Amino acid sequence: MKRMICLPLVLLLLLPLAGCRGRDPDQSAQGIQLYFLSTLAHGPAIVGEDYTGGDDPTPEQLLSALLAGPQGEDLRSPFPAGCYLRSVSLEDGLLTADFSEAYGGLTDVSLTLADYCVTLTLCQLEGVDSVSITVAGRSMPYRSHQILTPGEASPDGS
Amino acid sequence: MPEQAFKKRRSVPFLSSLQFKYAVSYLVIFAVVLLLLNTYPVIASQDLIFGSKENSMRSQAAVFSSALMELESLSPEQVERVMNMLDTTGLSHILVTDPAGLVLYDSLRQPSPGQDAQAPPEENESGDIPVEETAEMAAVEAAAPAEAPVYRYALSQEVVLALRGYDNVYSVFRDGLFASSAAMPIVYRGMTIGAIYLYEEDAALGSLLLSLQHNLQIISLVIAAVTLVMSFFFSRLLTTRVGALLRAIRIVGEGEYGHRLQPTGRDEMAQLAEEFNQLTDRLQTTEEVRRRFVSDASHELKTPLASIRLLTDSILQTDGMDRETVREFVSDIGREAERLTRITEHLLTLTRLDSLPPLETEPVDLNDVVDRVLPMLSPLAEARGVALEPDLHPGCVILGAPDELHQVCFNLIENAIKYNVPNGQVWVRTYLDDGQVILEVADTGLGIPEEDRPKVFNRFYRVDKARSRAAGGTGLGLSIVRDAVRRHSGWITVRPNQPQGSVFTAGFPLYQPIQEGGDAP
Repeated sequence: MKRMICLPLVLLLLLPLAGCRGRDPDQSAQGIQLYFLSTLAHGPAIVGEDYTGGDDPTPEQLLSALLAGPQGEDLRSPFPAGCYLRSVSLEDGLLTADFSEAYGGLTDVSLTLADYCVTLTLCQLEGVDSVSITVAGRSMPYRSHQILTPGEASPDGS
Repeated sequence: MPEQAFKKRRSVPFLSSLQFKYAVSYLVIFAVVLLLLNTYPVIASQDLIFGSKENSMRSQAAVFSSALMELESLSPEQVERVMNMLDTTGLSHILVTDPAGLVLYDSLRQPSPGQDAQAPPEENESGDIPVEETAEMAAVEAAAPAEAPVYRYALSQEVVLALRGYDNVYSVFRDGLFASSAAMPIVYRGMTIGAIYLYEEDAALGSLLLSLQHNLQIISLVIAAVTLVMSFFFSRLLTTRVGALLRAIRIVGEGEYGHRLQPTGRDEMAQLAEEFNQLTDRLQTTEEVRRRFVSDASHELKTPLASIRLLTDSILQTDGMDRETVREFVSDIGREAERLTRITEHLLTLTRLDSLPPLETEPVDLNDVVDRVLPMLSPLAEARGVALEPDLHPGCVILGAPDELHQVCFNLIENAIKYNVPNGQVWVRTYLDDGQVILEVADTGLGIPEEDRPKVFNRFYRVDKARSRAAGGTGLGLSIVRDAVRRHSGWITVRPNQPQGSVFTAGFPLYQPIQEGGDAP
């Protein structure tokens, strides 16, 4: 009997919920973020994930965490299999990250996405204003420019 | 009994009442209807608009892509020239990128005709992604040569999918707007040379949908309020009549057989009230008959007992009563005792008939029954000087109980003898008539007045009480006959005989055995 009383009340409460559809991806982020590729169909192609390795990480630590891949289910790594960090150097605000040959296999938008996952991640560090990415010590010639800054990436297309 | 006592004795909790259940059923039905009213039209409208938007955006993106794929390679100047020739009405944002996602054309940064070619401020929807130039970057640019290029990459999922070769269209209703996007690769000779991205925000359609939703909600509220009131009103109408019926049943159950309902309307409740009244009528009649029967039975039993008492008191209180007088008084006592015995036996017979289980029947030849009864009553007939004239036709077989049929014949013939005149006659006839077996007992007695004929079969009814008592009657014989005849699916009537007397006629269904190999006739 009580269920019979509750049922019409529940149905009436459902009325205001009519017409709801669609949602936005949530991108609230705090602390240092590791940037990976989103697997969702819409929204930003690059999404950040909290770095849990402690405060004040070094560039090597951040890049290691980045190369290790994401924890979240809706994220995936931008790096090709077998890619590893060869060296990192910082001079006058420009951080140069040298990756293995596997990184050189990236082209077009895949290269762009990987470049800016690295750039957005590393430029959060104090003293890092821009990033240069090399492959086995060499620049990638088909990249439009070699010095990458976070302001160049518009993750949501606007 | 006051109605308040009924209410107090068995009040129904409101949540268990018929009224509440009836009202809840109304409300549940309307709640489902209102839920559908508030969801289906809105969802259907949204889906319709989504489909339309997606088709429109896809078509536009295809047009732009087709126009741009004519260029072997995309450069900002070439793309701008092509885009300026295309109709971009209604689109909020248009992007064209190269295969790496580098923005070659952004409609939001294109100067209007007559204005300086300065890019509009960038939109920043993600607070931690500084799309706008920072002070450091501005300083870097200021220190750089005047013509240093500014690189911008559109890295939305739509553009990335398009650059990977997938057309994609997306539409969502958000914040009162229909936001739609379409992205498509620009393909030249099988190679992706870039991507086109379109974005549109339609506030007019969004406003229309919100208005529709709002109006439906208002209508729903009004309908819900009206439904709530009407459901309780209609349920109250129904349950009031049910309650009246319930009260009436309780009143009659307490013994007030005269209570009746006033049927109103022409629905099932009105029919129920009429049926109740008819039932109560029968109940009242039955109760009156029962009371009268008990009263009559008590009186009939008391009368011989009173006579016996009087006679015995007379004997005891009279000293020296002569032997003949004593003998006479004792004979009277004996006759009254016999009468009492007969009354008791007849009452028991009637009671037995009232409570008998279904009749155990067998084929009985009525002529055989009459042949057994006549010799038993011959001494009585001789003593009264009445002649018995049987006229029995063959084939008078009925399906019945032999003992009860014997009782019927005995009572009818005995009455015909007892209420006859000296040297009178009694005819006993049996014959077939149109599928029935007829038993007819006629006498040459004084007859039954017309006004008494309908009542002679009633219990304890006597035309002439004095004569009946003198003849040793109990007033129950014909009641027994009628009840027994009815148990055999028969009928019985009485009419005057000519020139005098009465004719009692009883009819029974003729017994027709089922023939072998065929249906029953």
